[in-house]
Amino acid sequence: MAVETTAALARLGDPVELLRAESANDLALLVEDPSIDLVLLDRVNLAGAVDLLAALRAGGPPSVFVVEGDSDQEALDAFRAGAADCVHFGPEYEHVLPVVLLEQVRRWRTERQQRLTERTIARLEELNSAIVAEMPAGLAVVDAGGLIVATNPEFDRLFPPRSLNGSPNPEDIAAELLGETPRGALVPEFLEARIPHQLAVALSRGQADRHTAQAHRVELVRVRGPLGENRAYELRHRGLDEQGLELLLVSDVTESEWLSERLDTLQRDHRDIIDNINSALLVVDLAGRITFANPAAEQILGGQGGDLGGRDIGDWFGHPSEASSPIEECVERGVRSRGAETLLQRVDGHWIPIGVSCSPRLDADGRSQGVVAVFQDLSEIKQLEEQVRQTEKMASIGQLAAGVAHEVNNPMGFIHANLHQMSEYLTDLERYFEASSRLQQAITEGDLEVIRAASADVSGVGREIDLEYVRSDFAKALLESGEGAERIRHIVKDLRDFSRPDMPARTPTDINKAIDSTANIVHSMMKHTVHVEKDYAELPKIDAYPMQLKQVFMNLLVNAQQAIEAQDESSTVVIRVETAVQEEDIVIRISDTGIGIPEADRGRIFEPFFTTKPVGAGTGLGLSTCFSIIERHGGRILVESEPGTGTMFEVRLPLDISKGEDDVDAAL
Amino acid sequence: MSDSCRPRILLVDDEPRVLSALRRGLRREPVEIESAGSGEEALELLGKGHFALVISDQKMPGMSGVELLAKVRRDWPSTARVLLSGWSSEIPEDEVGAAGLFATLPKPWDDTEIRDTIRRAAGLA
Repeated sequence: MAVETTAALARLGDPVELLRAESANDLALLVEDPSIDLVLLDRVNLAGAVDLLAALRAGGPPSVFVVEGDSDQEALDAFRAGAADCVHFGPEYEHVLPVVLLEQVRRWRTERQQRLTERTIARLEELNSAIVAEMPAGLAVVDAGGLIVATNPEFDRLFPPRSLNGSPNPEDIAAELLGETPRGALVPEFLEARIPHQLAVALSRGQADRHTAQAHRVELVRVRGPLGENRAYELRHRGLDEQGLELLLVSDVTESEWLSERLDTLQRDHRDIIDNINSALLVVDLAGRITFANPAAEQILGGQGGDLGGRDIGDWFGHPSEASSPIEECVERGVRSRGAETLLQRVDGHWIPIGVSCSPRLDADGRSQGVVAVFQDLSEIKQLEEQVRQTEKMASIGQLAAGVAHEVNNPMGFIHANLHQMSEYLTDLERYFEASSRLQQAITEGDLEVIRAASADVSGVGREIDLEYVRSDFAKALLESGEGAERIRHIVKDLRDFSRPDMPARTPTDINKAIDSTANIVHSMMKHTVHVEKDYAELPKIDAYPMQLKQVFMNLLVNAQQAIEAQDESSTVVIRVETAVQEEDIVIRISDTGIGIPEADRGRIFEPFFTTKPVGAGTGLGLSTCFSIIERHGGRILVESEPGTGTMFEVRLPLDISKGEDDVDAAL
Repeated sequence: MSDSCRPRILLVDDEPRVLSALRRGLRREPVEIESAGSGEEALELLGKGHFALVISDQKMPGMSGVELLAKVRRDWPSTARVLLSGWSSEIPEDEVGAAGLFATLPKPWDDTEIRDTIRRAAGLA
């Protein structure tokens, strides 16, 4: 490069990065770089540069030629070749070149920037119209007079121009015409040519305050559709400019509105049901903490307005008689239960019986998320059950009443007579004591005559009252009366034992003993007619409700006695009672030699209120009570009977009574 | 008064304590007392000798009081019959009628009333 050129470039002020091209190829490669601002051709062979420059011209950086001397011809050639400018290598060269270069670079940069901007704008416009065309919302631009200036396809789909929408009526045509009138129409009427009334009203409201409403206004507008159906639109609009152009965005939200309303309704319905059912509903997490309790649950558990959330269910369960509650079983091991009975401790400390069903809440992968439990307070039901049992028991006592009265009456009879007799003995003995004390007195005084007379008197009284007899019989009468009193005491105790309500919990029960004590009552109350023949096996104790079982045995024994009496009134009744262990059961067989049960009745004897006894003689509940008591113990009761020969009732109780109970409780 | 002259009375009850108490109340009476624990035993004794009066309990195993007394009426019509029962009103009337009773006495009984009845029935009063 010429010394002058270097000097000229140094005058540019800003540092200049110079790239050198030694050949046409070099140049072609270098100008690919978009950051090249200028190509300087310093006294090159013009003839060779023409083709090259022609290739560079299109969109490339400007080229400046330096030509020798004052030759106008050379400059002309340079411009023809495509030079942006030309500088003579002359006396002013060093001063002229920087000015020319700066001007060319400035121009080039301005031009390049402008081109870039134009391209960007074109691309944005393309994007914009694509968005407007494809967006799932209706879009329209409305002017201040309410004229729809522009719409997108979705808007046209939502609100087709009237002329396309069935047969046009004169008003529609008028409106259509108005729609094409640039200014002056009133907004609602004008828009209503295209969009539903309510939307137009909403929009005109928006227009009225458009100057203050800069942000998007969003409104939900409900519209009655052409078929009378309800539609809902979400309407957004905002002013576009000072002239009152307004952008209107309409989405059809009928479907999602419907869904959300439906969801609201469902949730409200569920809420209503959950809040109003009598059953308590509890949702518990895997840690055993309450996450939800409905009002019925809150009432039983003693909470209010959701304050039970987070509480441990262990606060209410865990009666000492239970290893764990069904709810805890479900939380810990996923064990479902239906209608299981358990005990719940209320806030006041009372344990109440509840019937609970619980199941694990499983997620999509089948993993337990916690437990839903539904339960009911069984206190009242239990009380009623107990009342029915008690009533039935009293009824069976009623059947025994005559026997009881007789049994009490006999000892009462002889005790009464003996008391009377003993008071006579006492009178006799007093007479004898008086005579004796007179004799005592006489001996003290020492008058022999008087002593003799008194002594004779003592002997006389002794003979008269039969002293020896009175002495021994007094003791005997006392003893016999004592025995009578003891017998009455026994009868009363038996009765009281039998009529006492059961303990609420199961107790280990010796079945043989339970039958014995019942048989004793029957025997002692009906000993004139009943003899119980026993054949007992050794039995393990089972967890049971002994009073209830005694009632079963009582019913069966009384039935047997009545069946035999009906068969042959004069004979002594023999009832055979046998116990045994068979497989997993304790078996109790009570057989009589009575009239038997006709086959037609055999299927109905366990039905409540079924009775063959005269009105007033039986409640018809005896065997049905037996049935439910045995079922409650997880056992079975069967009957075999031959009319005219006798009947055998067989009761089977599982050795492990707890096995059968849940199923039965579910039926309660 | 010798034993042979005294009227013989037969007491029937399945409850020995009742028999014992009855005897006690009648020990001063001028009667000879025998007792039986059942209707069958009573009939056996009746077959062996004459009794002026039979006093029987109603409710006994086997033969009831009125059944026994009806038999007594049939076989020994001159023997007076007294029924001792807590619930004589519950016995069917035809059965009571068949026994042709001299009296029914309640249970528990009153010693004075029983003595009075015995005296009248045995012709002592």
